[in-house]
Amino acid sequence: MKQFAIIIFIVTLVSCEKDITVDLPVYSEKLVVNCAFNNSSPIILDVSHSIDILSGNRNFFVNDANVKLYENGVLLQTVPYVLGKYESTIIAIPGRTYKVVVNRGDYPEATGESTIPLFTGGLQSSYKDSVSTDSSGFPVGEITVRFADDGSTRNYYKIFLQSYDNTTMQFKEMIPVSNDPLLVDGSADNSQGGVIISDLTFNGKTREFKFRTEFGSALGTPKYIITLELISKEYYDYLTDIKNFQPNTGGIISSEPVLVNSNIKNGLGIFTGTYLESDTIR
Amino acid sequence: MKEGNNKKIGGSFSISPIAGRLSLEGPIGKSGKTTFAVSGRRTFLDIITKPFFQKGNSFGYYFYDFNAKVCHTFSQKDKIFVSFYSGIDKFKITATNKDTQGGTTATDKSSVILKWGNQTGAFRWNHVISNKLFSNYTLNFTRFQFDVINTFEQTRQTDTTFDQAGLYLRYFSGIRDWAVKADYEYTPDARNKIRFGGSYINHGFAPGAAQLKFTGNGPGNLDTLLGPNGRIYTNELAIYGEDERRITKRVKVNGGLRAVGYNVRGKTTFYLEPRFSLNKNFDGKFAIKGAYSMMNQFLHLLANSGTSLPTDLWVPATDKIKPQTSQQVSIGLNVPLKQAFEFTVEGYYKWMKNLIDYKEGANFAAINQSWEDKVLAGNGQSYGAEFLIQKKTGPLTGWIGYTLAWANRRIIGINNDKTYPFKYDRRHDVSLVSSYKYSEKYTFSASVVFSTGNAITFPIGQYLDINGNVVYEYGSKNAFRLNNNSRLDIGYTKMLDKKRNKRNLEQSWTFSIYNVLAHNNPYYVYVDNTTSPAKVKQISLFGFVPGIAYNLKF
Repeated sequence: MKQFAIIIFIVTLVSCEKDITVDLPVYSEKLVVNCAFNNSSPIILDVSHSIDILSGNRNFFVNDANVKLYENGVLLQTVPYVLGKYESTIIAIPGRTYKVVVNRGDYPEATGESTIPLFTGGLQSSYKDSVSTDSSGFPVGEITVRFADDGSTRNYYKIFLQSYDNTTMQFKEMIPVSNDPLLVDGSADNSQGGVIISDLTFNGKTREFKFRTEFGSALGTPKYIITLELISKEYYDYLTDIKNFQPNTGGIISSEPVLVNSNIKNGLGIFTGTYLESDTIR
Repeated sequence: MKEGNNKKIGGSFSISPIAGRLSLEGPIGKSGKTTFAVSGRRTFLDIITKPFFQKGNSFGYYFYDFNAKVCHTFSQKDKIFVSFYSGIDKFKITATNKDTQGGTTATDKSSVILKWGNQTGAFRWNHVISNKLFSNYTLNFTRFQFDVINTFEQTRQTDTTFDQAGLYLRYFSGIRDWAVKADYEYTPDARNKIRFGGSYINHGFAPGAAQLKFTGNGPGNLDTLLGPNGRIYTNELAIYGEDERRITKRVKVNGGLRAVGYNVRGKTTFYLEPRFSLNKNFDGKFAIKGAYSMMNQFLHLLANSGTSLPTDLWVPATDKIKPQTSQQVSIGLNVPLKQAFEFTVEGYYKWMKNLIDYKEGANFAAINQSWEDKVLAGNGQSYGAEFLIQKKTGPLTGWIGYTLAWANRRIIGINNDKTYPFKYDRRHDVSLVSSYKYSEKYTFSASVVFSTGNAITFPIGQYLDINGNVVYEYGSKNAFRLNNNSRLDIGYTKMLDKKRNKRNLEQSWTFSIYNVLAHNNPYYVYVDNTTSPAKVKQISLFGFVPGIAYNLKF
């Protein structure tokens, strides 16, 4: 009986916890197309491919895809690969439909389609010096960005600020600091810089956003570039998704998975047109 | 829990390498009017496995529960009960890494603890008002608490110095209820039974709070509570009435209405909950029943879909988050078969509104945001059929049950606005329990359980976003299924001859095997990045577990 009890004890011990490998279904790689084109610069696309979640090989890049660009159903260009990107010579025109078709080997053909929305709101921006002081007591200024929203549709905007650096003699990204209720908690901050907002609270109205400038940032001439983009809902959702994304591999304290929005058929990524207006403050 | 023997003190005791159980019951005093019953259980695996891990490392799970009840009979018309229950489950992993180099000994210790537990207490008074009117008054208290505790401690020691730094992070969530209820049953005649009553419940929710401590022999120690997730108190006041009436010899109907007032943050809303059921018996050959009910639930279950661990939270309906409402229809058939078998089948369909789920990207433990801002609300359905065959008499008894069910959700803003399976959508659930009394001395038992694995969201691919950062491809929400759960347990009890002991105690030995087929049932799934390619690993608890227990009844 004693020996039997010992055997049972040992078997119980060994059985307490087991670590086994779980087989996942075979993963089919997809083409990834990322492109946000606008009305002021040529259409440039990033084409890559997805890989299995468990793969240790992080080679996403694709340099041998066949990328065709269409405008209103008419082939405009087979886009060449230039130094890591597919660079076309086409500057998109608002109101026209652009379509990209990407093929590579055995991958399913990936397509995306989008239009640059029409914007009639008219960007107006201005700068005022010494409106307040920072925490060290230095005077700081204020940039005002103003535009009119089209009340007939739900619209989404991206505001991006740059200030001139006298040392490097180049424009650099300016972190948007604002007491505006839509922006103050940082929820509108965009992972690409700037802020993204919807017109839910100002549909059909003229809206102003005020941003605080750093001390000394207004010393050069030109001083600031304000860029306003009217973006599509799918691009707004996409930017929100990638901002919220956390690498989640099932840890004990883990975030909810984010299903990143995609408008690429048979692929992943985003192909979207934005209407861009910019203003330089001198 | 039963009331306790009012004649003599008795009980039962069972001990095995895995668990122990003790229960006692009996009269208090000589009058026989007061009885008590207490029982407790605890598993021992965490204790017995400890010596077999290296010092500083351990893995363990245990649970205990304790029940106590005292009953006093004042008269044929008045009886009171006082009861208490406490139970805790705890899962713990600790790891220690020690390294000595160049005269410095570096020690890193980390641990993760998951703990959840319930305590309840109740006072109940049964009072017979008249030979047709019976009443029941209850005062009770319940508390549920869930904790996740992460600790990390680092020490660096030389011949002359000792540096220590520690981090303690505890995330906890809980519910506390105080309730008063009055229930009445009025039987005007043999064909009619009327039930009515009311209740008041005060709920106290702590939907999620975090305690953070930094310790060490440097500057900057901290011990603080974090986050906006303060307590929420709600009140629920309800009255109900139902009438169960035998219309004919074969037809019975039951109709009822419950009215509820729910108060939270100074706002009160009223709800009605009608219900109706009908039973028809076809001369004992079979019976059919149909039912409809409308219900409101002022609690929500928030299930985390990215992990398979029990980190779900219970949160209240508030002024921002509406109560769940549902309507359910069901239809069933009951057929007594030969040889004391009985067959039952029931189908149901339930529509639900105002169900909540975490927004994509939300983290249940994030303390910079209230839980109300982490969720979205939508609708759901659940439907299915349940089959049951049971045998209650004879040497062979038991039952076989099978449920085929679906549970879905659709919430705008989640899963690209498409319908997805609920985390606990269990397509198949099978259970078989049997006991065969071969003789007065030998009893054999067997049970089989099978259920479809939980639905979780697991990444399947990775790719570059527009900024050049890696993001994951998930397919759709809750599209990944953990492995199915299945288990066969068998047991054999041998009664020892009562004549072997002078006190005529009932002794027996039980030999059992838990999980005879050693199926690896999933407890937790994670990605192991230490290998290339990475692997998805599953932790299973308790494979093949033989047991031998000594049982004593006295």
